[in-house]
Amino acid sequence: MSLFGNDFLTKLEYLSLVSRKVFRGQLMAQRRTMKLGSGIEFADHRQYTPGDDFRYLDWNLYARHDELLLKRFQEEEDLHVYFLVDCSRSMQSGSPAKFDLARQVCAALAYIALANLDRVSVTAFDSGIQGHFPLTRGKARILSLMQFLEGLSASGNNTQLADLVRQFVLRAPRKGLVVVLSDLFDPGGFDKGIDVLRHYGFEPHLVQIHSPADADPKLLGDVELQDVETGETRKRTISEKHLQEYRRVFEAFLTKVRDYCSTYGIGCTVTNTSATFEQLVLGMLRTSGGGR
Amino acid sequence: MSFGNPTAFFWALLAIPIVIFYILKVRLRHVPVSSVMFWEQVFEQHESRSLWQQLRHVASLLIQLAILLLLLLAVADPLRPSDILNQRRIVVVLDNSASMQVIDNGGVTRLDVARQQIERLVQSLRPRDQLAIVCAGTRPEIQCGLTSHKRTLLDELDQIQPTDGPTVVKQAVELSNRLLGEAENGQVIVFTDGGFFGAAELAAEPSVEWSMIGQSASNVGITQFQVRRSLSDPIGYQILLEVQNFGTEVVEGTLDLSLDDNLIDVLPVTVEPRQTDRRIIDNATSDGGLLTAVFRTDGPSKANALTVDDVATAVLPQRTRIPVVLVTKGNWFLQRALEANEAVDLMVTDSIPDNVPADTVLVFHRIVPNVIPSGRVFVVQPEQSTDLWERGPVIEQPLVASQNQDHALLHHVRLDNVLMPEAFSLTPVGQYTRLAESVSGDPLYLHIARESGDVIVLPVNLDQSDLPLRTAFPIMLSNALSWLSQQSEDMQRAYATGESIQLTLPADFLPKDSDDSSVSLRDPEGSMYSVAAVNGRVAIGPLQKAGIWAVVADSGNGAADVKEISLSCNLTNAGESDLMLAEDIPSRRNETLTASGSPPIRTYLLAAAFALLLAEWGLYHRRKIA
Repeated sequence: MSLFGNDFLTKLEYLSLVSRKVFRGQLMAQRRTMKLGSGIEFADHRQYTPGDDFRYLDWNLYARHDELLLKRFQEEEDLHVYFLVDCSRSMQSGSPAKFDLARQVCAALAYIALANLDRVSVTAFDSGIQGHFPLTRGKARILSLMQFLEGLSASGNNTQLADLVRQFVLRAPRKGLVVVLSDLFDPGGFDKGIDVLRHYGFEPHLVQIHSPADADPKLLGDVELQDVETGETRKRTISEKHLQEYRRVFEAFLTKVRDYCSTYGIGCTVTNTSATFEQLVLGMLRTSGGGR
Repeated sequence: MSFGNPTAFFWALLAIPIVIFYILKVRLRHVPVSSVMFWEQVFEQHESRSLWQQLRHVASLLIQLAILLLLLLAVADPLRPSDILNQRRIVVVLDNSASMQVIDNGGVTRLDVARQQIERLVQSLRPRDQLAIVCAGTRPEIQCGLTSHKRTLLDELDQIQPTDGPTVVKQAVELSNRLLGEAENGQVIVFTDGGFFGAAELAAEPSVEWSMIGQSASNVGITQFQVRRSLSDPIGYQILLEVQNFGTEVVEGTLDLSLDDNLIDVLPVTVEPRQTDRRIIDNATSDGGLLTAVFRTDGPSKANALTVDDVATAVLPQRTRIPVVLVTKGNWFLQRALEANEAVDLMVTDSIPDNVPADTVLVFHRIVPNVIPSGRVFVVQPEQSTDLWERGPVIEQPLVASQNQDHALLHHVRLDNVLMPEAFSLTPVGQYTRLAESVSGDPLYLHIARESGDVIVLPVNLDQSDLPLRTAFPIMLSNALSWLSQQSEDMQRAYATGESIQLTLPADFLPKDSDDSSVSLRDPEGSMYSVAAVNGRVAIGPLQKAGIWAVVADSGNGAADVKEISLSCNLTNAGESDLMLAEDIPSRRNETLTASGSPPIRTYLLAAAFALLLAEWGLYHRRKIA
């Protein structure tokens, strides 16, 4: 099995340690939510209504002000981390393939989350949901997750992130961090899908993966371009000028991704397949901000 | 329009793969990409494929087909009507005689100058013209028949070598006219230095174009060189040598005589302009071998432009020693005459020996046995009859009335007015050859051939006759001894280049049971040629090279069985040695006929094909980098 080599778990453990010791509390571990629940930390008061539990009455306040008020406490919760892995055909390009890098990064981040007692789920998508690994917890589940990732294939037609996200948000049990691993080559625009995530209270983090050929194709002359997802063809005569223009257009696309994420405070990682997954994850740990 | 090579249109089938490759090529290269959305943005600003980009593949196909068509036409060699109508047939007569070896101003021989002119003529030939080359040195020879293939003509021209023979331009022109036959537009062009009799008249003939090579030059050469047996020395040789000065200034030099590369004499020579130095050299040598005469000038080489006539050779027969036993009671003249012959090993005795070696010549003087012994015998003044003759009375009129001058025994012998008193008649018993006879018809000198050995009889009283006092006597003895010892006294004379020879081979020249094909001819440079020997005779020549030729008979049993007859060949031709022209003969050639015509049509076709090829090359690169 070439996707997850013999030293992959070793690397995962290393990344996990790094995340705990260097980036403690900045990404996922032991995150606090604003939900009021049965925690031990006093958060607020409210008026007593008949039927409330007498144990939570603030008797000191009654003694001073002759008023019946109930204590409210902040509740600690584990983080739900959702991974959306793009399984469309466009993820096959590159050497190594974008799809392989995406799965490796997904496995690494999932391991970190599991090591920190967070819950993790993985959803593979193309035009719809291709596969789903349900929420799970515990480091021991990493092997099953890796098996699930290995069984995926980048064979889907179309990348329609918006449709997929709508399905996802309805199925997700709880809000959490959503890591989208994709090349974001969505003709309808990637931002629509991410907007849905934000609207529903999820915390998206984009990992845009592209291959060197996506950024700088080596094509000249008369060619027939075929979109691997849609099958559409375009007959073009490509010159150096066209290549220059292409590079500019692609760079503009990446800039758009970064700008979008910057605008909405979304975590963003843009990489090509020449980087290894551990380099990518370490970079993400350095640059990713905490969410609340 | 006519085509010189219409089968070239078969190659039009190449259009099929051109069209197939075009069809395959227009199928664009299929490239899968992750998404076309970025390319669509790119080509929103640039026109995806202009009309020219769509059509330029078709234009490329048309250009390739046009190139193929032009190449086909070029290979098919289209001809203008004028090329067909004005087809020329030219015969070039190239003089490669001895005088064409002269180097005039320019450092190249006249032959090379003529060769260069002919090369230019060949290069100027139009596609349908034909040219032939005839050599006119020593003998007229067709070097190359009528052809339009320039490479063949140039190769054959390069192979023409100078000869040492005389000019035969007239015969070559006759041969050229026969070669042209009745063909229209036929022309004979002669390239010569004009060194032959009748050159001016030939040059003036309207049917002949003339290209004069070289100019008048001074020269000194050996025009005569012959060797014969000395009339006074029985074993010596006499040399006839003639040197002519064809120049305008006095020439001084030396004649070096060598025998088998050993210098034997150096003779100073001074020759006035247009004069001849003729001399007879006696006692130069008596040995056999190769005699060479070389004339060397003391002055500038300009006075001696031709060098091949400065050397002459002659072959002198090798002499072997002859053992002779003289049986006599004493005759001073006879004994001294025999002793004077350096080739003779003489033993004198007064009694008839019982046995003598097989190759010994017995000379009986007065004393003769009753039975002449086997072997070679020479009898002088026999006193008695023997088994071969009956001795008769004294001849009353013992004057020599006639002698067989053609017989080898009487070469260089004149018996006129020789007194032979008390010569007696002899009546041979069997067949004999009368060599000299008296007025009365009695043989005074005779030869008896027999199987056991020839016998020569001289029934002359040496004591009374004045024959011993004549120079003929030692020569008679020398001839008799050479005859009896089977040494041929016949010398091969020196031949002149251009001469044909009919040579009679000696009886024992060819090995027994051999066929005529075992005879070969070796030239002075060592090349061997087969010659046919018919009835013991071979026909050789005309000889083209000066030097030593040899007729060789090889029995195939090794070097010891190889027999050779050496023949010397010299230029000795005053006509070739005289480089001073009696009158300047200007060149007369129709330059318009030989001027180069316009290039053939295929030249233009090839140029057009090349231009289209460049255009296609440009289009190809535009498709790559546009």
